[in-house]
Amino acid sequence: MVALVTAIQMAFEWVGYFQDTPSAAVLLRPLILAWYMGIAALAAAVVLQDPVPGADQDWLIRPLKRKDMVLAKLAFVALAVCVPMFALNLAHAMALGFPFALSLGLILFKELYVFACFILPVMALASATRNMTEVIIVAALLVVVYALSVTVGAYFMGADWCPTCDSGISWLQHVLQHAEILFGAAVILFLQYYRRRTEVARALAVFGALALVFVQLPWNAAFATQGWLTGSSGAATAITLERGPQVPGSEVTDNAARDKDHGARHAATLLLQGHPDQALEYWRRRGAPAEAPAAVELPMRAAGVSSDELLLVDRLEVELFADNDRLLYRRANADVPLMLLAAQPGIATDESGFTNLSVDVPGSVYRKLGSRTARLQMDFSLTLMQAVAQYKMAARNGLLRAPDIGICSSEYDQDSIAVRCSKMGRSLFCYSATLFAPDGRHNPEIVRCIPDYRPYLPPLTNIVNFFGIDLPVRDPYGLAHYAVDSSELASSYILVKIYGERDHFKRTLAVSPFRLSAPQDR
Amino acid sequence: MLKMGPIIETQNLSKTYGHFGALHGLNIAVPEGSVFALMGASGAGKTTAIKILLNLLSATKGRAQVCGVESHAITPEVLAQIGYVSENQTLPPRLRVHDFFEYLRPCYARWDRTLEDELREQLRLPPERKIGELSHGMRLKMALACALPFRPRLLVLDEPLSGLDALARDEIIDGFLQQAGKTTILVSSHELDEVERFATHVAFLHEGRLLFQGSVAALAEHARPLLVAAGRHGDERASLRAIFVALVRAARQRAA
Repeated sequence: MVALVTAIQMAFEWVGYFQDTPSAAVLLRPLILAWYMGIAALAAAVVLQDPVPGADQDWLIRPLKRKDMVLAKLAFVALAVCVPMFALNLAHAMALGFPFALSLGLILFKELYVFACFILPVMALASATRNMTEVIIVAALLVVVYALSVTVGAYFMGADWCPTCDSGISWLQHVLQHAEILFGAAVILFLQYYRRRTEVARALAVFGALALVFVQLPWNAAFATQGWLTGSSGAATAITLERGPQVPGSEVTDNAARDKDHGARHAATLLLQGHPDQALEYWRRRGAPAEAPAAVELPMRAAGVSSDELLLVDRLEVELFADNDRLLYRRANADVPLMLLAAQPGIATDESGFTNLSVDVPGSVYRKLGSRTARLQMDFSLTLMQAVAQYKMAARNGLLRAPDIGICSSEYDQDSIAVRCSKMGRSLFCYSATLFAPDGRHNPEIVRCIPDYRPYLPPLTNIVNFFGIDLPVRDPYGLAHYAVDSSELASSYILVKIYGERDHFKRTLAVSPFRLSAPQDR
Repeated sequence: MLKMGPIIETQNLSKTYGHFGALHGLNIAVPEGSVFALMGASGAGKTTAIKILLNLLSATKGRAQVCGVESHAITPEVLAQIGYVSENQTLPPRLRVHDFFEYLRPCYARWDRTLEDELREQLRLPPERKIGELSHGMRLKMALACALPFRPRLLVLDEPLSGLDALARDEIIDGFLQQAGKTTILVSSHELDEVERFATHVAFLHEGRLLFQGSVAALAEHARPLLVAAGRHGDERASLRAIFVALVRAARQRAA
């Protein structure tokens, strides 16, 4: 079994080396599954050599110190799983050209992380079972408990069931969950090997699955923690949010009909992707087509953001009040554009730099309000990003190595230049690339920004982060024309910019009373 | 030869499984050096009592002491003085016979390699066979061979004769008889006729309740009126079976 798990790890690392090729990507999915299952099966099998529940096992009447036994099992799994994984990961990093010292530290941290957050919980679960069949049944039961809890939470609380989900600070919630899992695993192992309290251990496992769902960090506390960790620079003091001069307008959109086009498959996909609130919202709207929401269009802009800065919206909480100040509707994490700054690339603005923010108001609220006036309050949680480094690389077959970006290469492929990077350690989540001609002409800057402010939490399976940008140089339909096209690539260069967080802060924008709809709209 | 004081002592020991009471206030004292037979029909509570003594199960009520230590706080040092053989004992099935002996040796400071070799030869244990491939009788012999080489102070045998053929029974009983006097033996069994051959003390359990405990000589004295009442007058050497049946009938009459 040890040989089989090592072989799976070797295959996984080998295919992972060619991760950016299409065939490797196809192979990686089953290999990741095999990786998880192989390691879990080995860890469980080691524990089940001497099952704890029951009263007939020979080891129970032998003069063995429980501490020695637990430590022996932990040491065996560490030697059988983590040591080969460490060696393979190190070889992988060396083959990709990463420095030895950097790789060593990061990989060691990753193996500890895998051991604490995956292997130890599996061993704890196995210690509360008699055999592999029970392990599978108990694990399936825990997954069902977890999934049901998530669905119930999302049903009753909407997006509030997980305030930090899908945001750049979700890593804080993950750390909390990992701490819960680690603590729970340690308690279960203690209960089983020192007290042999299987019923209590199993109840604790179920309670732990529920706690993973319902113990959620409040947004304000998590955001403040992130601000403290980043270290507020005060750079955002001058930034203000401004509302456009025109009155907000509304438009009833038939999202139900739009959702029907996506179908139930879309809802199932949302559920599987960990967005139960959105999946349930789809089913609600499908069940009540009259609930089609009204979209309130609100022109706004951010002032005080310089040209080398980006402003990210981490969370938007919208509150709609009636004219008597009664709260009609509140929603967090409404779909808003990621970046607010008018001057930044990819955001459509008018000549004054205003962009339209669209806020959905449920059909029932819209109808209840009628032609009466409403007041809107929007609480923004924002992050100011600033370009912290920039690098040049040849547009064609270029190679770039730098500690804060990793290893990047550029390759021309008919209509665009593919910039592909790999990096160990903390992943880059905000970067841009621009194609420049030697005389200074350039194509539009392409920005990739998916907020993720984690310091360094490695994925359990991968040691290297892959990311990249495609820079178009030719439109096959001839509609778009680029300042720098494919004929100039030999002398052109790419400017890669890396953005880092400067400040996390909040702003509130109040929209004075306005009418959502005229009386004749009703 | 009996030594001073009990090596096992229970006080008001009770165990319930849900609403089912397996043991009801058991009070027994096993003198050191004795061969103590815990007897009763299947389901009388013998195995439950033994598993509580060895901390394999926890008691619902009452307390038990083994080798001077509370059974729920039994330590590896105490376990190193106790040999245990049970009909249900799960030995590691993937290990070969000789591998299992190798695994056990370092666990016991007083392991006698010569005695181990003698036992393995006497019980004809195939060293290269996997334990999972052994027959029930061979596994019991294996368990016995693993329980003796460290010369335990206390040997606990839970239904050791169950499901064995006559030849295997004789071999196992010969093994016990060799140990009698060297160590205290607590043996549970419903095979009354077989146990009669080597027990010095007996305790009868019926539906979780103790009917009698004492030496075999005291038992005969205790049982005489019951045997007379049962029409066995003049039976000077009544068997354990006859006494047990008489005790159970008397208990049933009292309960009725």
